[in-house]
Amino acid sequence: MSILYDEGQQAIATESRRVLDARASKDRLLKLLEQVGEHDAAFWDTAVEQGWTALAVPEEHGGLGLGLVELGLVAQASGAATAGAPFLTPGYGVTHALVASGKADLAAKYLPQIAAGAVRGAVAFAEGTDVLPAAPATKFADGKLTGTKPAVPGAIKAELALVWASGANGPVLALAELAGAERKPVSSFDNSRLYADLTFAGTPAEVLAEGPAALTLAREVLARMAVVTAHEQVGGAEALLHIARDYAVTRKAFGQLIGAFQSVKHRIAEMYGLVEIARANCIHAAASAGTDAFLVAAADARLTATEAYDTCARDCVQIHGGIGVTWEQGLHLHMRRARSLAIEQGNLLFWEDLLVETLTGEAA
Amino acid sequence: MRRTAPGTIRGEFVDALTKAGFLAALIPGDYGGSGLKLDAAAVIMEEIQAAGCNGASAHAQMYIMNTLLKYGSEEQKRAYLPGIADGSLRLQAFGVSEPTSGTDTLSLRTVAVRDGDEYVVNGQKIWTSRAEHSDLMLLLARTTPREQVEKKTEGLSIFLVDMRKAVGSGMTIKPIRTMMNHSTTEVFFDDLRIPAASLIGEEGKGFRYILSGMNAERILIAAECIGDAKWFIDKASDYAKERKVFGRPIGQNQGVQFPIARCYAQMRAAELMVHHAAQVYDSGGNPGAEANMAKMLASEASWAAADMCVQTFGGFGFAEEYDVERKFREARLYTVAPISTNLILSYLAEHVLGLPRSY
Repeated sequence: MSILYDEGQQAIATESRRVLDARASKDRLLKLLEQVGEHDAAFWDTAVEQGWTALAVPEEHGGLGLGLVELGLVAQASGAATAGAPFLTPGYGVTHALVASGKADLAAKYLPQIAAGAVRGAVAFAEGTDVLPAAPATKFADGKLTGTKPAVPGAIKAELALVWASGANGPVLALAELAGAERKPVSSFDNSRLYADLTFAGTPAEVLAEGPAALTLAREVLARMAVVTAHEQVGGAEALLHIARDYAVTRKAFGQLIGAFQSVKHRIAEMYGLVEIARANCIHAAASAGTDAFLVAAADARLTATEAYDTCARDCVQIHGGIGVTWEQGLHLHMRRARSLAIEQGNLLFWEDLLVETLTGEAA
Repeated sequence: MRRTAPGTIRGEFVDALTKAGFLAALIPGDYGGSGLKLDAAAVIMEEIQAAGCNGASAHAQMYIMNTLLKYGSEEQKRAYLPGIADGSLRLQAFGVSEPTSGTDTLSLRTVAVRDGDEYVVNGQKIWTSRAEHSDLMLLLARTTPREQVEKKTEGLSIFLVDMRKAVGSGMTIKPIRTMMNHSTTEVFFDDLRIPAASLIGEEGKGFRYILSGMNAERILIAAECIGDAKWFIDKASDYAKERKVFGRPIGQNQGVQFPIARCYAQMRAAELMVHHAAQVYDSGGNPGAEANMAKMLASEASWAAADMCVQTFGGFGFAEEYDVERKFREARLYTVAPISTNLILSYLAEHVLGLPRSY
């Protein structure tokens, strides 16, 4: 299944890009790199004001009732701007888990606040390099969580977390308010991602799903977040493609535009190919949400978008030569983001394994 | 250059190599060879390939005798090595792989059972190259059942089988057609009786005997890959200088010249590892890691160069008269044989880096 964007969706794409272009500040983002615990408040205010936090929240809970396609378009614009706040994607993960779990009381309690941007979500599934551990060390018992989730994106500031834990009857997907959890900020190469180690010590939590249903829902949440992130990666990769193109048609060496050299122009053409393949996979995945084909489509989007962003980040720096590695030029904002997004929501190995498992029916 | 028809081996080519003494390079002077080091033999194989030929029709004559030389009795060496050196005896077949055990050599099922002054052989080999063009075969067979050995590497033995006597009296050879002119076969053993004197070294130690030979084989084949890569790079460079499109040589395009340059750099790096491996072998060290890395890097370099060469030639890369398509088909073999890249990576991961065994 594939789609063409309708008028409303095209408007979301154009408007989000326009607003972010108008308000983006490279200087602000560069400063954020050197501060632990700070995010791009201007971007987040814009996101709330523009209703992006409410996009995928059902209308009965104060949202716009739209879905992955629309959120993907906003994520693409955010990716192009290397937006410095990591709440849209996990907020959507928490939203989907609340809706899909059928817990009406919890949905009524939290979704309006998520839509209004008053509550920011984090998703804490991974432990170490294990993206979705079969037996998580974080425990859930008697309505309480115990254990540590390392380097959770957004966790320095989020108010609510969706947590993957071990319960008495297999895995549990639990929702915990973070007021009672300890947050140990992680100093990273992309500090506005707000990574923190979250430690629960008897933190009260509500069960959204348990046993096999928890695994199914966790995978679905992860896949949906991966598709949002893939859009963000495509946005970043496309921005780099344009930056590289613009530079190649202005910069001269040996008396001619560097874009006239095949090794430069062919490289840019290859970037274009990678971006368009990833974009197509993203559109396909977003449009497949809710179907049996979704997991595979999400993995495709994730794998190709990661490759596109990584390659574009590397090649754009290469095409710029020395100027490409300067602090002020800021290409490193994309290079850092390409790496942090490549790890958030599961790295390539995780998605490759999941693809193999889904296609063959066997664990790799 | 003359091409050979599929399924045939050009005898003149093998004869010329033999007469010039190239195939006897590794046989000591006492037994009629030239007693060269492996590094020198590697240069010979590289040059054969770099000239556009395919040494696979003869290279085994050079290295299969290694096991006989190292572990055979003086009587066996006197009986066979001079003939192998002058080419009157062809030792070019090495029966190891079986349909149910490819790289997992220790699980092979062909058995040799002692019966008086003879062994009785039953079983089947596959991918036995040049069996139709060889007088002798080095055969690896199980002499002690797997469940009765103390160490899993024991219980296999090495025999030197006279195929001139064996074919028709228990040995049957069936050729397998391949995508290039490489002679390979299946060999069936049905109560084949061979003299007990065919055994090389001690019974049960055959696996250990062949390991050193396998390193030599890998290094020589890696050298062939380097020769192939050089051929592809030279061909592509020459063509790119002469062929004009849009009013200038295609080699003036970075899109054409950079891939050739990249292949050259890749080939030179692999070449260093090949000679390093050969020198470790020649100085008496264990070149397991180096021989494996040399084979992997060289086969990848030759395959990259093959792909690049076809791309540089465009449509002509597919035309038989340029030989590019033939060399392309031949070059494809060596990331698979005589050992696949997967097993090389497994070896490095496990034995060099100490990672857990993955298979």
